[in-house]
Amino acid sequence: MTAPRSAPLGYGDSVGPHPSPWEGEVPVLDLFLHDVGIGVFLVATVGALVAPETMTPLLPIAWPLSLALVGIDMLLLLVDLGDWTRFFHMFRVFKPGTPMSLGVWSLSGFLLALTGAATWGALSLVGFAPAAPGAPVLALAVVALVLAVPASIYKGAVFSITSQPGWRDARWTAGALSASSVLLGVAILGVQARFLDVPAAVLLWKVAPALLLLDAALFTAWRRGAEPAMRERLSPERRVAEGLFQWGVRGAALALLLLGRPTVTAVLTFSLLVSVPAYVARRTFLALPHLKRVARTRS
Amino acid sequence: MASSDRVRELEVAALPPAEGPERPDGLLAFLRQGLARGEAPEMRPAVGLFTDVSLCIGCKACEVACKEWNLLPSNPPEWRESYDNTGCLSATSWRHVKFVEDFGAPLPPRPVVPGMDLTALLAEPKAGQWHLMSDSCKHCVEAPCNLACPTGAMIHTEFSTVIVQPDVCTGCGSCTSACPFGVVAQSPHDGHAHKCVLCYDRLRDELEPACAKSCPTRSIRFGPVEELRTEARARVETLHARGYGKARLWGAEPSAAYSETHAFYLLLEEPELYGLPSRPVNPWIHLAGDYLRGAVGLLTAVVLLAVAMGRMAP
Repeated sequence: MTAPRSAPLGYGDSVGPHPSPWEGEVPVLDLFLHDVGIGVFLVATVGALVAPETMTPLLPIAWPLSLALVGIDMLLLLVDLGDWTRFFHMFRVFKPGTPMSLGVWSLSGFLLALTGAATWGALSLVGFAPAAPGAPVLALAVVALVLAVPASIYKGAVFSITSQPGWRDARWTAGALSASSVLLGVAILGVQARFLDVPAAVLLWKVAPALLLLDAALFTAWRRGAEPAMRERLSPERRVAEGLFQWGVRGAALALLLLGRPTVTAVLTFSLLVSVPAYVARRTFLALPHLKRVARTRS
Repeated sequence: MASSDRVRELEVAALPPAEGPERPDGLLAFLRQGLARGEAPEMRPAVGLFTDVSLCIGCKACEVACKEWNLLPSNPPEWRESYDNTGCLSATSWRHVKFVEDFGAPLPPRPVVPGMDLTALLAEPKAGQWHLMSDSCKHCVEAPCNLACPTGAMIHTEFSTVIVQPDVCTGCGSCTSACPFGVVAQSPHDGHAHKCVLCYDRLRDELEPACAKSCPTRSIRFGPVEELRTEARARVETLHARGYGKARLWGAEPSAAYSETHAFYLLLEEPELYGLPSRPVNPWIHLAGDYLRGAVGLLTAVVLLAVAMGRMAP
């Protein structure tokens, strides 16, 4: 007698793509630092253009900080390449219809313009440049601001334009990650403003609730897209725990913003309440194609 | 045909090797060569493969010929159900013969009777069936791997096949992530993407790919795509007439979500049985929408930030 078949007949279980090579902590860190770095730049620069008197004091630190974070992201991108010595081949073609190509070009241009602005910031910190940026520096910052839009969006599209389970169905990845990066920028700059003891701390505290609500809305849309793969690949316990964590922390952050004042403890707590779930959400999302399907038992 | 092919192949093999490009001298020349583009070759009629699984006997000659011709290393065998020890298409296995043993419980032992009637024996109900299939790259007309490649390493050739140019591949993994069929794979040895190139070097020498050449039953057929499609449709009709009601073509026609493929299959069962999706989706159909949603998310946040700051600033 033949033994009863243990697996479904045929190759039904292997239908689909190879798991993406973007696996482990490096791509998660890369994605997170990219979003934080661009978020810091966007909030600082838009703030300096809209409310110059309040936000300009943050620029000498914010721009170099953004450069450092995005620079580390670029280094991680290199590390994550199969053959990093060949990175320059990315500049052979410009394919705006290919998110990776759009990203490499826009991120490189963004970094170039940001380096100019950040150089002013660093010189200003040590007293070799005026406290407020001049017109040429502001022009560079505006160029960087324009390039920051594709540089911010491309990352999410890189994931959604794949055949990977979870990634391929999450249509709001780019939207949610970009909006989240602005919230992360508000949280990080809030800490900087508090420690510098400038009025920007209060302003950032006031604008944060609106961005937190937008982040929550887009996070819901993003997660809904990935939900079928999460059901398939995460245990029910883990899904519930992650859901409770994400919503609990967002609720706590909102309560803190509405009920608290921007003290040192409050801004530090708020930045943690924003950063940690942002990192965890990215980590879970990136892991989806590499997780095995959870076995289902009939009750 | 076979003998003339053989002579031609030997003639080609006897030709002196073509001169390769000059080696770059110095870093600047190396970079310049990397960024330079050659002239596009003249377009040729589209060619492809028609794999008729009803004729496959699972001999793996195609796998071996592919490895031989493309100088691919052997893999440690995987112990799986049935005779499949390749497992899946990979950077070093560009052909994969799949084995499905579709048998229920074995029939009771039959006593050997002298003078057994062969016709009666063939007419008896079968205990089951082997499903065998030789899988490879589908050479999609709108190939997600090609669309995903940021360096132009993945290209459509003059024969409308899809190949990787390993010298400009950075190993970013975009193509591996994009291919819905698990064809393109990254090599752990050099970090670059690899897959079936439909023996591009042989095509340029007007030879058929090694897999089709070695197939003893002509389960894998090579030729101009249009001719292959006509042949495939006729074969489906023949099989239907013979009682194989589930016989169907996979990849020969485009669907709303996926283009036609230049390597297509005649299947006897549901595509999933052979590890192929029934309704493949090209992720690129979502690109414009995903960019738009990204822009909506970012710009809404920035506008919200600007308006709120403008109103609340002291």
